[in-house]
Amino acid sequence: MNIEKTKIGETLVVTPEGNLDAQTEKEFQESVLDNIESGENSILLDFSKVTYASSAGLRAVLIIAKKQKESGVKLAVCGLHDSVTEIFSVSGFDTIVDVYPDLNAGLNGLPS
Amino acid sequence: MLLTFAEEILLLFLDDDTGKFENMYYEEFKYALAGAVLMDLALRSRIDTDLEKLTVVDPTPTGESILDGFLRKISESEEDKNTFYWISEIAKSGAEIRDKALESLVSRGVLRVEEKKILWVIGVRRYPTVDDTQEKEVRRRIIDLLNSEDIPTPHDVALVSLADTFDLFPQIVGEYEAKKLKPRIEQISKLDLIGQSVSHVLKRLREIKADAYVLHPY
Repeated sequence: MNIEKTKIGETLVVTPEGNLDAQTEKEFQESVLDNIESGENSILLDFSKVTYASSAGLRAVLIIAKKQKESGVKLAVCGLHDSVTEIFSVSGFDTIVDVYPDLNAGLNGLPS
Repeated sequence: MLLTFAEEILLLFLDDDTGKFENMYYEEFKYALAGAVLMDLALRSRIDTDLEKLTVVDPTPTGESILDGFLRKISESEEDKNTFYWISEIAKSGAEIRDKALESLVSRGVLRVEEKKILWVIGVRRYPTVDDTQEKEVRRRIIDLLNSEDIPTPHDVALVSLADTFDLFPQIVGEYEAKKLKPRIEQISKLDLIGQSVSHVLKRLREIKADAYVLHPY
């Protein structure tokens, strides 16, 4: 899985590309957990290039959100495609992590 | 000691004092066991699900006899089926899952078998608890989670989801607390797609029964 990381101001924008499923969950999860452990304190997961998410992919998001909460890191998700929005909504993940429509809204919406 | 979900769910249903399974209606309980098998396979990265299908991502046996037969069966399926299908299919082996889980709990020293006779004729098997450490640990973890705003682990999400579907919370935390904690229980339960499917299958089953009763009340 290609995972792009860009620092915009104080926020690390993580942009995974492709499917977020059982094949890619571990790589994505470990990549973001590394950033949390190395001291990043504001992370925006930009899912604009994620076209599919399965329950394994959601599990990675859950584990990241758990670690983020325990570490006091600010975390949000943005740019969900329709199919990913649907699975986020059906499974109530939008109650676990803040979701913004796009990158700008995510950068503005992350708590300072 | 790492218990399977089927084992954890059996422990939650078991009444410590009587060694009997309380409030267990087998026609429904077999779906909890089927869901538990699928949840275990998902958390062991053997299957993956979405809103439409369930797929095998790694057919390597887990080493748990309760799980591996079903993993093989799903792997051998010629086309992808959805989670509802597999819950219904695996539920047909509910008695076998229950018996294997009980055997495993007995061999791990968590339960013991006690044979009793009612009216000297009917044999009844009970499972008094020998070591309640596991069960207490499961209950404590769930209670702590429900009373906090912590984000649950995937394992606890699956367990809360199954326990909620089968109305186990009044038994775990008491009627009053279960009612008070309902929004939190629902928030956590929803996070598990397999748990949601078990809940839908059960809802459908109850609707069919209700319809049958309206048509044929006696």
